[in-house]
Amino acid sequence: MVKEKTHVNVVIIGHVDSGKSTTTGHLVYKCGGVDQRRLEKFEKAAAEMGKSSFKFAWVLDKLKAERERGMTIDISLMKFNTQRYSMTIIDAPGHRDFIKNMITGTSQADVALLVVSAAQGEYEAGVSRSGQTREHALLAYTLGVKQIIVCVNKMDLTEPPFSQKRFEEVVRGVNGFLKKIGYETGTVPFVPISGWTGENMITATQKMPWFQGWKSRRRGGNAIGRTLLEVLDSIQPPVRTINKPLRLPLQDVYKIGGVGTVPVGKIETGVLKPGMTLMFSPAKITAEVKSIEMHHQGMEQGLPGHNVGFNIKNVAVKNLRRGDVAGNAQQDPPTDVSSFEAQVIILNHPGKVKAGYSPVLDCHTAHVTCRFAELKEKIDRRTGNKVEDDPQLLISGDAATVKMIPIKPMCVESFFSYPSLGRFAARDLKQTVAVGVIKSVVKEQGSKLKA
Amino acid sequence: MGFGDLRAASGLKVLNGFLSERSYIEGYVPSQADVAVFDSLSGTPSADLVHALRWYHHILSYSQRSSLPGVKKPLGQYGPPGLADTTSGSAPSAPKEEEDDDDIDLFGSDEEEDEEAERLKEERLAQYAAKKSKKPTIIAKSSLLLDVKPWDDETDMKQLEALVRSISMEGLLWGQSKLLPVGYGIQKLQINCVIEDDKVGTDMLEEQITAFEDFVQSMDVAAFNKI
Repeated sequence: MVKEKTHVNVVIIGHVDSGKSTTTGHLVYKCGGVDQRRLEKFEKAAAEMGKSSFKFAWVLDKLKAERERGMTIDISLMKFNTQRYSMTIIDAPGHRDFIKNMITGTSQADVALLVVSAAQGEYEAGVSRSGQTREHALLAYTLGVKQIIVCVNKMDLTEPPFSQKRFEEVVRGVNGFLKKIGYETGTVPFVPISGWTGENMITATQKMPWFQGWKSRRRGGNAIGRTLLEVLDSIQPPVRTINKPLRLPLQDVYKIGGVGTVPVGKIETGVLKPGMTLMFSPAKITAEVKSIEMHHQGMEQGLPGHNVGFNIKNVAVKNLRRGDVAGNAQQDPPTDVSSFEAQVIILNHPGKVKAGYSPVLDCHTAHVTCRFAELKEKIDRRTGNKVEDDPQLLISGDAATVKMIPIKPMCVESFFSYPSLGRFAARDLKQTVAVGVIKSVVKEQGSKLKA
Repeated sequence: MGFGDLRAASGLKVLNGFLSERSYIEGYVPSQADVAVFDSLSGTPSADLVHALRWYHHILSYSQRSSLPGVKKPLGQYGPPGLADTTSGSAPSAPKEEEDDDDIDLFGSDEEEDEEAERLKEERLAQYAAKKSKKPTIIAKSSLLLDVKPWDDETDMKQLEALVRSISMEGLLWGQSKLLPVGYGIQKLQINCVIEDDKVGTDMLEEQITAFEDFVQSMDVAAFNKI
């Protein structure tokens, strides 16, 4: 039997005309992401129209047009294979709601691929203050995407074409700001490519003889290679969180005739098994798991990443809701928090944020208003060093440690112990005004004990 | 574009007129565009120029103006079309900006670049702007894959789908859909849609979809991609 490849989510980030869609398209096209029938149909059409020489560009255009009409679900999920991994590509849109989705969504990125154009003026515009390159890279880092790959794209458009000098200039510049953001630059591979003509994408090119290959320094041996595909294949697999205690944020709760109550959600960490006693927080309910199903198939156990439904005994549907977190009652059960300390970055707030500000936080599936109770310190985003104690206010671009208090019961965790339960987006005025990661939580001691 | 001479009464009058129908020099939030114009004024606009005065005080209230978003452009690129910038000595107060840079500016520049490199960069940016302005602007769109979940195994999924598809707004196009098994006989509707980034938000969609509360329990975004 063929061993199933490890699944990896790659988010492609970069300035608006860095050529990221072309690069994405090239990978998907060349690495088995387009179904064969459709591909043959397009290639045949291209040949008939005498466009064989522009086949790739033409097919990409057709696929884009199909996506634009929303006609096929399958190509809205872009997938391709490397030797070791099965990858899903997320081509980051400029849409204002995307950041929230990246934080709370179902497909959180394991690796970021930063595409930078080397073409005259485009590199400069991309990394300028109004460019998106830095913001995207900073967000990726803040949200815990610690592996980043840089493609220096459009090498065919440098002056002169495939200029080593230009490549080095771009590498120096990008390295500089990645370092300031917090990335360890020795670990970041840089590949000169052309997503359009295909240099160094899948196969190594002869047009850049000066390129000695990319390197990535890391524990357990360095990785080296020449092409983008090789870099993608060399990434470190996402950490298996199977050995941690169970965390399963609920998306929905169903009442099924003849079965009973069925909560559904994605297992973030740990293992779910029939017979296990679960604790739900903040519902403060315990229940035993009778059975588990995924896609209508019964399962003996659910693992991290699985979207499962499970049947529990003696709990009414109305006692559970979206945003509750299930865990093993015997092993670090989830609890509500009375407050938590988070590192936040203010993104798009038009005014000033002061203590008392109360936006809605989206964290895993929970959606709860939280008060910025105390602005503890303003910090340098890049070094993490404190720059000011007890700041009076925060504005867009500031990073700070803040004590936050949820106005109704909520279960969150520190990012360190349970990453996907420890990052959030703060929403106000219909936009994401801040993103944050939770440093520590103060667990509710349980009112019963105090009374 | 430009305001004429911002240090003279004529220029301030143009600015006043310009701001009579705008909150900011560019867009809907304070930015470096405001700072650039602000810095070029010689002082507070006179009291009869109410719009300019209102704006001046507002920008003045930002104590760390250098950290506002955006990039400063020459004054000639702001303001009403048809007028040039003739402000004397209109160089923005650069040194002050540099000082603040390190701590505050979200995407501050990396190192002290020498003038030559700076000039080269400006040149390339100008070329880029020129090239860019010739390109037709493409409407930014995203492809969304939504999971719409019912209440139980008896919800009429056909009716649910019809309701979802009945939602219409500018910039929204419904695409293909399918039903996916969840477990215990429950199915969810997975539906594709194409949205124009500036017109449709996921919050709006979620609000309208979950408003069919007899049918819909919740909505999640399964995939979100640039087109």
